[in-house]
Amino acid sequence: MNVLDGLLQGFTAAVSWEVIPYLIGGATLGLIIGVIPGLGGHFAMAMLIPFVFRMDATTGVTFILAAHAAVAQGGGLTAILFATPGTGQNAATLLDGPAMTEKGEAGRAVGAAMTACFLGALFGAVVLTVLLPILRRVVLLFGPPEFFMLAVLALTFIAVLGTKGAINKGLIGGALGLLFSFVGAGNVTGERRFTFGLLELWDGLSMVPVLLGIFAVSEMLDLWIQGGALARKEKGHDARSVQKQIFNGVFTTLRRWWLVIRCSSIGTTLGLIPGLGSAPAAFLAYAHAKQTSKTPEKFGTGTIEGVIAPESANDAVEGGALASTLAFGIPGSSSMAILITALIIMGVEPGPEMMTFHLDLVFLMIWTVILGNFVGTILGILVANPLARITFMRGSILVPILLTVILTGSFVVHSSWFDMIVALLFGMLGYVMKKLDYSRPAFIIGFVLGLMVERNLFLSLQLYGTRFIFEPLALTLMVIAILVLVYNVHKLVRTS
Amino acid sequence: MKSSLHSQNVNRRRYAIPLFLLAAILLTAIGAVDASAESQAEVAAFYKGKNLNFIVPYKPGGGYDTYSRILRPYLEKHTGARVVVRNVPGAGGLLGVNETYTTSANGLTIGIQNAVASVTNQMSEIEGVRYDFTKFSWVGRMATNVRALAVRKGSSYKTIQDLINAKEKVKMGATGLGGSTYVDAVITMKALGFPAEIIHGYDSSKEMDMGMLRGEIEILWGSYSSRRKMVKAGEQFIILQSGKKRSSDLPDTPTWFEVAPSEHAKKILTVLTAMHETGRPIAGPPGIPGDRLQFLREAFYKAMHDPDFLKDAKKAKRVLSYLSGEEMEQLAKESMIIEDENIKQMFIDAIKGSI
Repeated sequence: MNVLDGLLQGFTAAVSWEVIPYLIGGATLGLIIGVIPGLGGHFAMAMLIPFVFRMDATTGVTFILAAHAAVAQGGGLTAILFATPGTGQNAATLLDGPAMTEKGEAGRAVGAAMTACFLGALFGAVVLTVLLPILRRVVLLFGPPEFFMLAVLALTFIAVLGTKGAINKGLIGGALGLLFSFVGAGNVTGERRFTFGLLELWDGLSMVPVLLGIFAVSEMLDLWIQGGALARKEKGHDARSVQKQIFNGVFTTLRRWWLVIRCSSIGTTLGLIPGLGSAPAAFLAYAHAKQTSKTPEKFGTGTIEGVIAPESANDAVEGGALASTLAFGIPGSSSMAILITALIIMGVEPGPEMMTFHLDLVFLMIWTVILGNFVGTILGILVANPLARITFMRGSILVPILLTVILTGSFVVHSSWFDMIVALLFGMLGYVMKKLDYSRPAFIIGFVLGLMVERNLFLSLQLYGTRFIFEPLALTLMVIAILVLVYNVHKLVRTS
Repeated sequence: MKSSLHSQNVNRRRYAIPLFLLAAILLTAIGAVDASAESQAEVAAFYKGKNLNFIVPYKPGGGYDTYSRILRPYLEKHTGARVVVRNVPGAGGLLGVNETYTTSANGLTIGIQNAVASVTNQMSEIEGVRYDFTKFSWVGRMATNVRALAVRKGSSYKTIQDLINAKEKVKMGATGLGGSTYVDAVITMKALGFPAEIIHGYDSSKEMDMGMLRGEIEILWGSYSSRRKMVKAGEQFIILQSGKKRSSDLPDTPTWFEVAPSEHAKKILTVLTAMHETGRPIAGPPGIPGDRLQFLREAFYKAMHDPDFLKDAKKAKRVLSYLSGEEMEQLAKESMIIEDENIKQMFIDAIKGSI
């Protein structure tokens, strides 16, 4: 079977009458799970595993992958409308999404986010398809030295994330995030750091409650203290103007295609890194958009680019995460690990032989990522209108409801009371950071990347000694990191 | 179910079923069945419709989680209870195991655990252990893992003898200090006497697979089931396996006992084998009332031998190795005893990562 045949067969399988209900059903389920804070794509997939025992590979793959695909849309919706991210991948959307809602542009933001999600997923899928013949070599390019340098490069973006141009507040935020990432049993020495005798801290702070705290709980505190509603402007109340805004958002995103492509490629590249997830990709895309914007000062005040960038990156990640899954049968993320379990249950052995014997299934997966996202986007746009009107409710009514949902979300992931307390404590920290203009995105980037930097540095040193920095790709990444830093320092010196 | 069973378990199991049947027949004959049948019915009525909590000490999606979720509907079928799988990850599984041990002993909470980790944690006396491994109310064991020493494709070490005769240190991958890939690496290196440099700190066996593909590391220890895929793809091959007898999955691969150079080495490997034997058991807190524990054990027996369950497990490529609660209780006691003080110290050092 050649590539073109596979492409066609995968598509006809995905849109056949037997499969389409599963595609739509899966995407709807994914959207619902995405709306619930804390529950992410891999939860959606794990939940569906018992069902795939009685399914054949085609329907099963479509069902769980469509559910996984549409989670980002659900999370994006609530991030924009209620300042509550579904999971990590939508946290970066909180920087400008809720601000747009406040200005009465909720519809525009939702339209942009849903479209960006779809375009990002499409980009990731296309890149994956193009790379299929050389996928194995591309995936093997990245080892500990390259991951280390990629993480360092990502950390340099902290410099641009200082709110209102205050670079030191960005750096402090990032350093604080790094510090919190080191809580738990060290990956290198196994010794326990900052655990204060609490077993709950041994595995480190979980990302979901920290994110929900830093961004969502803090917004609720702010709204409660300030009073008013999530949307403060009078205009844009009625269904018709929200509808108009949604279309405006869709077209604005299409016109910003170059930004979408750049942010999507950040997402897909970071997707190659095992276990990183899509939260850092979204933040990096945001930082990149801010850095290259002609009006960086508008970021954080409700600019549409601040929504397009993270939402296109977080769905483009899937293309990268699927790469190592398809090429070697080695999962690139926890979601992909579950996908592999499902494939095995349905009698398909993921890995190299899949590329030879099940090319139609490979393309079915790629098509499902595209079509699942498409369905998610359409559904997201459909439910945006009624949901948007809730944002005009008084804060005194909305805050208790949303806070309950957020805290329940932080509880359910591991059914842990401890995580709920973490969310509350980080909510207070997030509120203080917001009020004093310390960068919360920088905090999250530091928090997510800290352990990765440490582990890959240690592995690189064990494997190659200090000469690991001269590995060609690692060296290239290091040069880029230095250039980014120099550019930023130069810009800073010039403006001040 | 003719999968990678340790042969001694096969023997145990072979006797377990007839013995069980014999006991049942005897009881019927004596007529004592009246009383017990009544209490059996009472226990069944107790469980009917109640929530039976099932603690998985890891996140959703991993091996332990998958095993539990495959078992769940069949445990429901044979207990009549609603089985609720709860993931309680944290502290490398310790948090969930602690909860399983300290929860109310009413027979409504049980959990699966990584028994090797439970044994090593208790043995090395790390802080935070709130259980005594020998005192759990054992329901039974789902599986044991055959451990396999895998070598990357294209390596110059083709057999275990090549490795033992190696002139320079071989790079051997491991996850965190004290994890089973690390303990296996250190202990076998010592017992079999091959030169190795342990590269530890990989996040998971998946990352190590990538490391092997890139050629960073030459060899690694892992469970056979986790190696199976890479072996089938021709990327890795297995040169050594754990246990006393060769597994039916690996008939041409020597066991570590076959290549042990001395009696002392055999002693060390006996301890390691006993630990791996404990595998993936299911247990509740100490002190579950006798009749309820008996009911759970029987339900577990029925679930593990349910033809549909066996089909599902086979589909998910999950190797099973049933052991009854009574046998698991015995095994738990045996696995905690290391007579030789030097060997015990060696294990403790390996677990703590100080070798």
